[in-house]
Amino acid sequence: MNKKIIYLSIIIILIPFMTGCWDMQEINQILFPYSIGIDLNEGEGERYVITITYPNINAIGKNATQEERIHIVSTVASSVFEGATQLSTRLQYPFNFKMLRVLVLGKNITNDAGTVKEIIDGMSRDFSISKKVRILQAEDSAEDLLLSIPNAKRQEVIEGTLFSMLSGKRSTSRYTPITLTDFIREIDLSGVAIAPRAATGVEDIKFFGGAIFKDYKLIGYLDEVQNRALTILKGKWKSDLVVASFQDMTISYITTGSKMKRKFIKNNEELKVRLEIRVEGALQEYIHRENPTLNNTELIEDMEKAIEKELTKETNEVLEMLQKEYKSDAIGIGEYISKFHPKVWKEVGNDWDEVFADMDIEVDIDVKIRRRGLVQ
Amino acid sequence: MRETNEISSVQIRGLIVSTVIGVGILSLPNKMAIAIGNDGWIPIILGGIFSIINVFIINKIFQIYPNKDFFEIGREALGKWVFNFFIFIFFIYNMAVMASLSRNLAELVKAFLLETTPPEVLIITFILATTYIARSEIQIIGRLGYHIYPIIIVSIIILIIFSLPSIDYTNALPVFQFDISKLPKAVLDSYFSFVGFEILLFAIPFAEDRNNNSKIVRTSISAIIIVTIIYLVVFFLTLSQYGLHSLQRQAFPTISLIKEIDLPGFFIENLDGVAMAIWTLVIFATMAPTYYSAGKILSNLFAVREHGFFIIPMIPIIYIFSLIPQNVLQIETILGTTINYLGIISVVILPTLIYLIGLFKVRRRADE
Repeated sequence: MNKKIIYLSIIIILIPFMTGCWDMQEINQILFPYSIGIDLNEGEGERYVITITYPNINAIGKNATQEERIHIVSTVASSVFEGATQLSTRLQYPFNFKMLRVLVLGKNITNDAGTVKEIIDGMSRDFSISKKVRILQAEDSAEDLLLSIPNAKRQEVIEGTLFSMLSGKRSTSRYTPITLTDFIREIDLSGVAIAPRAATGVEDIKFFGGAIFKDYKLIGYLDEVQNRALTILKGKWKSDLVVASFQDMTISYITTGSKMKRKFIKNNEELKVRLEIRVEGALQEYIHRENPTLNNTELIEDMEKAIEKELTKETNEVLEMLQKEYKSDAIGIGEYISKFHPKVWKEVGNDWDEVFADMDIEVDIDVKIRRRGLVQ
Repeated sequence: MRETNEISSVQIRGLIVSTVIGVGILSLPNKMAIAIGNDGWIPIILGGIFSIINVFIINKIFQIYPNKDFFEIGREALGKWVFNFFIFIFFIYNMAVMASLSRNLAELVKAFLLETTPPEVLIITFILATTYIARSEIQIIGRLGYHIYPIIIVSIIILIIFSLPSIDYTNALPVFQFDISKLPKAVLDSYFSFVGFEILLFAIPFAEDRNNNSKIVRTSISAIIIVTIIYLVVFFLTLSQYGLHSLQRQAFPTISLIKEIDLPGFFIENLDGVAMAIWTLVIFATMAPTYYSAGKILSNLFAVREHGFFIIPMIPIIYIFSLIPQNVLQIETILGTTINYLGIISVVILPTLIYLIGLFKVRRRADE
């Protein structure tokens, strides 16, 4: 009898401790920001303008009660996380950054290496933020870019506009999405990382080219064709469309893949790297007034030459720009030498930027047309 | 009881693997990258080899003195007082390991899973959960290890499969570029990730094959080899994912690697929560044998047959130990260093000493 009473009282005492836990949160009482934009505050007050967008849960589903799909809030704060805290005093629920997808850096922020580094460090240090966050450079201010999302037409997904454009396999090399981890890693390895740029159009958002960050500082831009050339030089070119002129007309060529081999040649203290690029693909468009059929090998070889010429021109331009103008090794030559020729790297690694600028880099592109389509 | 309730060889292997793998697996790649760079796999392999030697010595002790348990052997070889001194250090070592494990666990669970729960509550609940299993005999703990072991193997395989698409194996290059003078410290660092096999001292007397010594030697060495392979895999995966410079900055590269997993179509992402849950189980399997050893040593020092009496009074001691470090860095500097020094005494010196003296005595007896 006595024992029973003791057991019963133990159970009763335990009940209050079993009812829940410190971390109980209802999922609809948390806001999940999707993208975050950071600008330098040019007016009075704190340092940054933080803009956060999150989906409006009430606009999802069949019986949506509200029209507006995204909520966009912004505040002035001295750091990203302070901004989030400040905003939570204005909103009904707290933020949880676990689902954060896109980080938009405003134009005025990217000119200062310290600021970008500070933001990137804060993001990579945080436990909950996914390290797959895509980095984007806004052509103007990040706030304007995010504010224009609701105006963008043809928007199907709730809020994920920016992210959908940055993920998935798109048959273009006009911009190259980059994640937080890759951004940090590329700056560690070669000092240079390239993030896609975004601009607001009249009724949509456009991504194009790339912003070159050297040691976390913006030093220049690439346009769309240059970005493609850079992808070719990096050996990461997948599928794209090339237009080349051939005998007074244009032919378009679809690539299905490319392979690159780097070869290091050292003779008489002169460093030389040869990039051997093999491109595979098929002909997409070819109209010839006199000879509309495409049925001999020589013609194909001539076309291959024409495309090679076009691509070589593009890549050499970009190479020249990287070497002479920016002195930044965005194509991973230094990484390659340090991995495969560590002895050479020990000699030249310390002033790599200068060595890279004066280096002889030869690009050898070999285009193959494998298929010609359904009609001859 | 010994006859009916024994530990099979498979259970011994599971017990060692699940005991050895603990906090070390989360930070080992980072430590190796800092200590020696791209060639971190060399100290991992060397650490494994030293552990194999150590395990071999522990097995040999029980071969020299058959049908005796660790305490009887120790008393016979070293004499009562010397041995008591050593096992007291062994006891302190176990307590420090417990404290460090529970504190590390609390810090990580708080960071990744339960943000607002106070770490004190996490520590005390986890110690209480371990208390339950630590009161059982070694056979039951052996079975625990046997059941955690496949979980570890399967999670490592899943980790490999999921992270293969995003890694760049050339990041592991160049090889053999390390500074030889840094090697000893790196080997010592990696060796400390292998301790935990000292549970063999308590497990072998209850082993099914205790009369067939070579079989236990084979099982326990194969367990250490499995652990070495797991460490190597984790090291190469994190190095390939991050490259050397980023890896040197990652505090918990293994967890960060899991955070990188991003399968298309929003199907699986943010796996760190799941990984933490599995890792909690792994830590449970590391803590249980340690707790058991501490209890066993105390019961022997006080000449009490049942070690279960001592388990519950140890809770507050472990709790206070675990709250000594004021911040995350101090967990490593205060508790970590203590564990390393005490560990060398109790895991390396004590068995080796018993073995050498035992060998000497056996020889002398043979001469007479």
